[in-house]
Amino acid sequence: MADDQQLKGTVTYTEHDGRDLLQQAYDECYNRSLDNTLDQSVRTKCTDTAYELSKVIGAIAQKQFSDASGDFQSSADKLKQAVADVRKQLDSLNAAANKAKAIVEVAKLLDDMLVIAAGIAKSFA
Amino acid sequence: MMAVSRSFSALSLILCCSITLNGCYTAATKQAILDFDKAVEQSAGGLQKYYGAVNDLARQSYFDSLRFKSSEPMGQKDSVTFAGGKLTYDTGLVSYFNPRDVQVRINALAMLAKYSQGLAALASSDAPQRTRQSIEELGATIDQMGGHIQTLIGDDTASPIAGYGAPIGRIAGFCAEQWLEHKRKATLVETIDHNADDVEAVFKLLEKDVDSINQVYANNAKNTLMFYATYYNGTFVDKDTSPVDDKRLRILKEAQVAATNVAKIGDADPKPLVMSMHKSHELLVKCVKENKCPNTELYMELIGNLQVFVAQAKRMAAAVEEIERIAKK
Repeated sequence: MADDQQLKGTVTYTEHDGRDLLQQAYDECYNRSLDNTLDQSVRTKCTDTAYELSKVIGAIAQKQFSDASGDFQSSADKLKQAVADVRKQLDSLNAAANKAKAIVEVAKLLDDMLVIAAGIAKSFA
Repeated sequence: MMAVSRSFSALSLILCCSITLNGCYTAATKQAILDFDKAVEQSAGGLQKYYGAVNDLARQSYFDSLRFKSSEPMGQKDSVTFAGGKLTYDTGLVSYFNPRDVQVRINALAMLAKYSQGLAALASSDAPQRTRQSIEELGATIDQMGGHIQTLIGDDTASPIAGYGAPIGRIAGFCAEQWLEHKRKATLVETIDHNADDVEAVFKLLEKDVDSINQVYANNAKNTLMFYATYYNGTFVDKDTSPVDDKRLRILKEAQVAATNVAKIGDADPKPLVMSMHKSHELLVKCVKENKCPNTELYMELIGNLQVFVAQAKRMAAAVEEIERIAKK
């Protein structure tokens, strides 16, 4: 739903979209954590990030289950961009000229992703 | 002789539909309503078992996370902290979702099961005894639901009952007034028509909730698998470990269970079940309101969807049994 709206130029995220975006970030990290074509250090970082994201997703789901709502429009926009950036960086990681530097950049992007996820969590806190 | 027989059958059908329209309608929908009733009741039981089983699995996942994250303290509550605040959550040490919130969903579905029993009773013109029994059962359910809603509203510490309160309250209110106080005053069509929007609302809420719950439980199961993969790769790969090393073999065995759990959580996802139940109700409402006789396209679609519904219920029940088996290990 969010993607269709993105094509039209306006995106209004509902609560469900917000958690979907977090879930997309989680899935990206989960899949990369089991991807043996990537360096072990990157996979471990992806595992840690996915674990932290799962805590945020679970905490929000528990709140929503008890009827809480949140306002996270700007965080959701940022998270969507962050997931796209991480995916792009990870896809080009193996071909990077300076692989060590690229790995550091990926790790930073994953940390940024958690900061944005925390922004979404904040609206439910 | 066969031609005479066919003509007689066709004539019977025409007579049935044109002279005793109500009787034909009852014959057409009776079986569908009975099937719907049976499937909803099975689903209510199945969903209850599902919650129990995946909660056990979530607890197992929590202990797995403690095994691999040795610096994390054990506790029932935890929080994710960030600049400007923190979000507290249940860890899953005892139960991942508040059991009272879960009970609201179970009750909502149980209420729909009782409601569909009432419909089946109304459709059974040849079973007055059963009708009386169903109405008595419905009365007991309405009392239980009313009591539960009151408990939740009256207790400040309890979680709100989300969006379920209003539609459930209206369905219970209508059935109590029409079926109990006036002894089956409302007709089948009137009952289905009057409650259609509220039943739809409950199904939509259930769809959203089970989707969210299964996603969270699936994440927990996936976390465990990730931990095993990370641990295995870091501990045994390129470390000259013997292929028959006991620890390595034990970790492999446990990782295999973790991978199976991820697959089984996917199989046990109750969303397709709730969706097919929702679709069956939509078709049932349409079929009853349009007074369709057997063999129409709509009626066939309803019967087909009910079969899908029953198949979904069986698939979910099998997956839940497997999760229960794994969780008990």
